[in-house]
Amino acid sequence: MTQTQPEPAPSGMVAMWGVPDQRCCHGNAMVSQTAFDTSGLDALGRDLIPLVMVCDGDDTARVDRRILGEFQPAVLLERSKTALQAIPNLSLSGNLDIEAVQKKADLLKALHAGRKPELGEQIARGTSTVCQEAGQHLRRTFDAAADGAPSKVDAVVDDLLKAIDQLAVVETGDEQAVARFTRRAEQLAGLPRWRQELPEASFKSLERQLLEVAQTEYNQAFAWIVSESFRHAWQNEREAFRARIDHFREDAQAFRAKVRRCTEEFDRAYQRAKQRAAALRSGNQVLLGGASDEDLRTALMEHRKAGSQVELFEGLRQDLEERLRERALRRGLGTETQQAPFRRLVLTLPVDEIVEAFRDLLLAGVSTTYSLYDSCQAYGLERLVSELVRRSRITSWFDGRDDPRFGINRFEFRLVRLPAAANPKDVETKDLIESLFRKAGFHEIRTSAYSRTISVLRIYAGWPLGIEGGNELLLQAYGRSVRTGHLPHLIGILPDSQAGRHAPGILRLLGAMENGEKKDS
Amino acid sequence: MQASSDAADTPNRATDIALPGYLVVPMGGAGKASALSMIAQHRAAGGPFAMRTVAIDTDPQGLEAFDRAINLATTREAVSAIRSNPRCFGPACRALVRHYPYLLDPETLGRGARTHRLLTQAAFEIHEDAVINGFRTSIHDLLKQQHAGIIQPVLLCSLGGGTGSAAALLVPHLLATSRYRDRILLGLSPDILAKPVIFAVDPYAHALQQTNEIAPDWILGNIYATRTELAEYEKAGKGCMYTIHLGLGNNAGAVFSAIDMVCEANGLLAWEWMANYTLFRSRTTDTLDFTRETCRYQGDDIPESRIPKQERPPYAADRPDIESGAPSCVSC
Repeated sequence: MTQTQPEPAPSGMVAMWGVPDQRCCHGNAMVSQTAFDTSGLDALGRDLIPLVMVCDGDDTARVDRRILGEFQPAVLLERSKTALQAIPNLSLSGNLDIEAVQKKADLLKALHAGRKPELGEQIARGTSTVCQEAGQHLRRTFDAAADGAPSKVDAVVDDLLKAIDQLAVVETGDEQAVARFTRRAEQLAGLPRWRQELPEASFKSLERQLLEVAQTEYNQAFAWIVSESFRHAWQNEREAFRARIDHFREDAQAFRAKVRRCTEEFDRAYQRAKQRAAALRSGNQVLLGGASDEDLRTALMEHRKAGSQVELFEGLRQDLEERLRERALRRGLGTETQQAPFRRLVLTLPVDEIVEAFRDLLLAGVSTTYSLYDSCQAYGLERLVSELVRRSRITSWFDGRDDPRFGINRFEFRLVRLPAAANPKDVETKDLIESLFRKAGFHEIRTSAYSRTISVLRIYAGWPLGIEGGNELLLQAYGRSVRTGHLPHLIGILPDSQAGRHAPGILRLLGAMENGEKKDS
Repeated sequence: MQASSDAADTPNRATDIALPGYLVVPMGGAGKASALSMIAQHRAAGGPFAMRTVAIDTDPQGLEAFDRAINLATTREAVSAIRSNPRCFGPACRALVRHYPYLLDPETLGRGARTHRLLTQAAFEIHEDAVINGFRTSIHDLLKQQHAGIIQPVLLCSLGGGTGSAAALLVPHLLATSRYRDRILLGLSPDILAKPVIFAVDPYAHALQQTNEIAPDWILGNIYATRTELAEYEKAGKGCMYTIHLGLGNNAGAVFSAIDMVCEANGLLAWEWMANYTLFRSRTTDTLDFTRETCRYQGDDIPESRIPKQERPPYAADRPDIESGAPSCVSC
């Protein structure tokens, strides 16, 4: 049995009701562009960004545990003692007499019983100030060192935590010292009774000896008060510092995660570029050959005049920091980011911003290898322009229905955007490209300092929607979608569509067209 | 004609009040993807004109990338409220409760309209205040950014999805209907808001990539439904200034085989249109803008010519019958 294939009959009809009523307010647009094969650049970025971001520059900035010398409890206790001796109520010096000892004993008893809160606060303040000053100094030193070496923070933090735990907590003084001193004061208070019964010289000698013992005991009592107050202050400060460096550890983890995400972003871009290169062969972009990552690395080394990889990383790191600061300012992140260390800057900015800044930095370094106009020359200027013009053709079909004799006033807008020329050779190539575009009927040509691609834009407008060639196939899909229970419409727009269901008029149109085709065939 | 530079294009923001400020409205997934490419372009160019983005979507993913976002995701509470008090909501919510209760599933409603355009219309009814506030605050932001003489809404969407294709009708309706427009422009000149321009992707590539057998027809059917509704809207004078379409490919070898490619191109097109607005308008004022209102299709090959004369609408009454497939002309 032979099967005859019927020839498809042209529908010869605009596939939408009411075309004569429709307004000519539709357009079709298309843009074609040049595109670099950026896989080389992305591969280079993927390899370099982790190395550059953790490049710590001056290694001497690394935190040394010797800075903890400032935080030795014994040293700080001595300082606290000196500070508290400046409190007039607490000093016991000069010509010592029984009355003065008595007063001090009363004072210590009152202090011990909590009846002298002001003095207690003064003492606490004195020791805290000493500890806080030391803590602040330590934190500042640590911050500066850790900011200079963000990748080493983790090791430094471990090191410091161990060292802090090893710092001997100061021995508490003799708790009985206050009691002994108050007893001595009571003893001294009873001494005048003996004045009558002892020879004057013996009495004086006894009084002097007792006052000397009282002085020693007072010093012990004072030392106990200082040590007790200091112990609290030092513990507090130690906890604050520990919290601070724990926070640094979190920061360090976040920093490492950021570096990893930036690397992954470049890797994704690399994978995309690879896939894109395959897709572009049939897309709206004309793919120009790009340099390999090895060529780009060599060009970068030459451009930056770097003698070694380390020099290259350090230079890139400094420039990256500068660019990130500019971006932070542009994003309105406040002036404090201008002084913030690199670590903080990286944590503040989003990954795409960092990746973009690094890509720009690499591009600036390899621009001589990566000139668009050189690639255009290599591709062939005439071939490139004709390809771009071809690919910018519109994506709508009219089968001749957009003819002025049918009342359609055709309007086409054409525009070309070219990147600025970087050198005299580029200027020449750019002029040639411009003249080729003018020959092809593209007279609006713009030059952009920011652009790295050539783009060609067309807008073809002024037609009613009903005459677009795609309508017919869409109408058939509409019919099939209705059969599978789809609700294609909004409520209240088409008069014959009930509750979002299909419009019977449209199905009638589909039926009329299918019947027409049957008749035609 | 001389090639001009960026410096010449860049508006003087402080003084040139005739220049429009652009209110870019990405709608649905394709709209958001288009807008991202547009924003990248705008940023790379150093922001040569004032632009604010206010994204609308029933799927909240990715909304944070824009200046403002109108999240139309429907919550469980909203579903309960609709079910229990349908009369207090608009026609779309009422229709859902009455005819399609199976669509009111809170599990799926928070993750986009998934080709159900009716769900987007219902979401607009539920979130009416949020939509109006979103537009109002974005317009205020734009006016703070630049002394714009006029605000030009630029809508980015696809015509086949559930959210973008519905919003392509609903947003122009919102901006044109005095009940909503007056609330959006409260305290501002009523003439400051121009008719929107739509840059729409016809998502053929997306439809063809679907592995589900039904989905391509639903997406393509949506495109047709949206087109008929746009045409209906335009007839009533409520439509946009222009609707610029971007299809699947041309006959010169350019085919958008992936939805992200077409979205990227759509964003770039819209950005170039905005960047060259003055030039474009100078070319279209006495051509396209004029004929848009006056020109009408006068060919005879309209579907109405196939039905009996007595059944035809008035505009087709005098058209000759078409019996054969080939289009007829007056001389024939």
